[in-house]
Amino acid sequence: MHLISAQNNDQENASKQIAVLNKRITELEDELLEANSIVDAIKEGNIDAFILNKEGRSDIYALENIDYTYRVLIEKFGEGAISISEDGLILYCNEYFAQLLNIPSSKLIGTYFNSYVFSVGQFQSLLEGLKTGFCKGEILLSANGVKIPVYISITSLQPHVPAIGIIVTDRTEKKKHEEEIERYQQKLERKIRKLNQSNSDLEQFVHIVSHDIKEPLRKIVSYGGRLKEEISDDLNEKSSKYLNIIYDGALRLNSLVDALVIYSGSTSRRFDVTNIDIYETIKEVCDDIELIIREKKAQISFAALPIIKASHFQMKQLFANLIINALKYSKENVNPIIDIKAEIVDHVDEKFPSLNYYKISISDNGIGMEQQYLKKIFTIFQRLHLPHEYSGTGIGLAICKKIIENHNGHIEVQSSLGRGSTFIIYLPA
Amino acid sequence: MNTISDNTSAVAENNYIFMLFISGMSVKSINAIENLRDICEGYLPGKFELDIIDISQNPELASANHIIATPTLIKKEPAPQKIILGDLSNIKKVLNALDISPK
Repeated sequence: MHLISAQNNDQENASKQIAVLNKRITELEDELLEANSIVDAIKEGNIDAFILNKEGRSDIYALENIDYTYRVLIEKFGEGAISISEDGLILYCNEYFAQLLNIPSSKLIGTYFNSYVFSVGQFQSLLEGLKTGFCKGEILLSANGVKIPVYISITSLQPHVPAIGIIVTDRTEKKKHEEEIERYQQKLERKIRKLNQSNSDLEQFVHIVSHDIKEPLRKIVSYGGRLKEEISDDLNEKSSKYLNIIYDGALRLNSLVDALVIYSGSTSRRFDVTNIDIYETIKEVCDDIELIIREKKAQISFAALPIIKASHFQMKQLFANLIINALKYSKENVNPIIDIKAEIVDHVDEKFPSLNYYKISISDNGIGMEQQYLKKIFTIFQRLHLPHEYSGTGIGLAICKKIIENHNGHIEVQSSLGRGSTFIIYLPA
Repeated sequence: MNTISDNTSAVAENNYIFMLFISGMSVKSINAIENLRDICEGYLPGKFELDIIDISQNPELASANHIIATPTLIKKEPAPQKIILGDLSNIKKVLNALDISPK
């Protein structure tokens, strides 16, 4: 029994040892496989770089074109790429740079970059900036007598390579565009100067009209009036009629000149803006024209009107013109009724849909207008009626339009013949 | 260093953790990245973590892992650690060396 058990023990030990050895063999086989695979990979050229550990530092030794992709990238780059030595010798340039200068790269490499730089000072100061790191800027290159504006980025390749890398971007096209824009701008400025000149000429003309023409005109009117008083009894019917025509003509001319002066005055965008109570303004206007209102037995109603930022003088002018207009074009034998209302609206201007506007409407029960005339009436000297039918200069509504435009507003009219008119003013709230 | 891993893989057991050492944009390195990516997604979906290390940007990591050439793949987990050199284009050989059973 003992013998058998000892035998068994020996067998057990042996099989244990065999297992350990087998395991060791498998481990060694694995190691060998790994080592072999490394050797195979190296033999087959399946690697691209070796890394050697020198004094605790990894040194990389490239076998295959480890930088191939970078190289292709730089070569095919749509920008010029060069590297220069510390003293400016071109060490490398890509195809694009050679094409930009129209010199083969074989002729470029080994020459000095400075010999292609037109603005040497600019380039030197950019190089100076290199001490602080990376720098970019615009310089002018020159090759074969052609000047090339370029934008360059300079990078030091130290400490790996004792050289400077430069990326060169052609700015010829961009420069052309910029110059074209500048030319346009100059052209525009010339036109603006011309316009300003003609504007000031016009102002001067109005000045001449208002002073130099009004003076003799005043004489005609006043002496014409006296002449009418003094000798009209002595004149025959025909001569008296002629004198009346001359006198009326002079009066009309006088009011025309007055209106022209006002119109040109409202053309000017220079005016004082204050808070204007439209209600008070209309009240002032009604006080001023009280005589006409009473004479026409007109009824003017207005309430709850806003306070806006505007020129007091121009607003008064505006409402005076509109109210007088409504009184003037009233129906015969019908008492004029004028109603002025206001409300807040938006979506008036397509460009600024969120802006709020005051919509002020002035409605009358006058003679109205035919549809086809609605657009014309705001144009200067557009009259729908002959002067003897309705008095007026044909400038009043043009003045209104100018004033509204001065205040960034908008004016329109709704009307039909025989049914009165409604003038609608939009002013920014 | 780029870490590419699925969110689920971070918590999964029996995760494969790989480190691939490459050098820049060389053709062999690019091939190795693509091949490893294919193997991981094809055979180990959802249970791998992958670090790709450019030795020129990370020389310390290269020497710490005793890298002698690139591209080199190290299988860190599961044990035992395995090392494969080359662009990993022979998928059968790679699977064998990594103890991954082919489908």
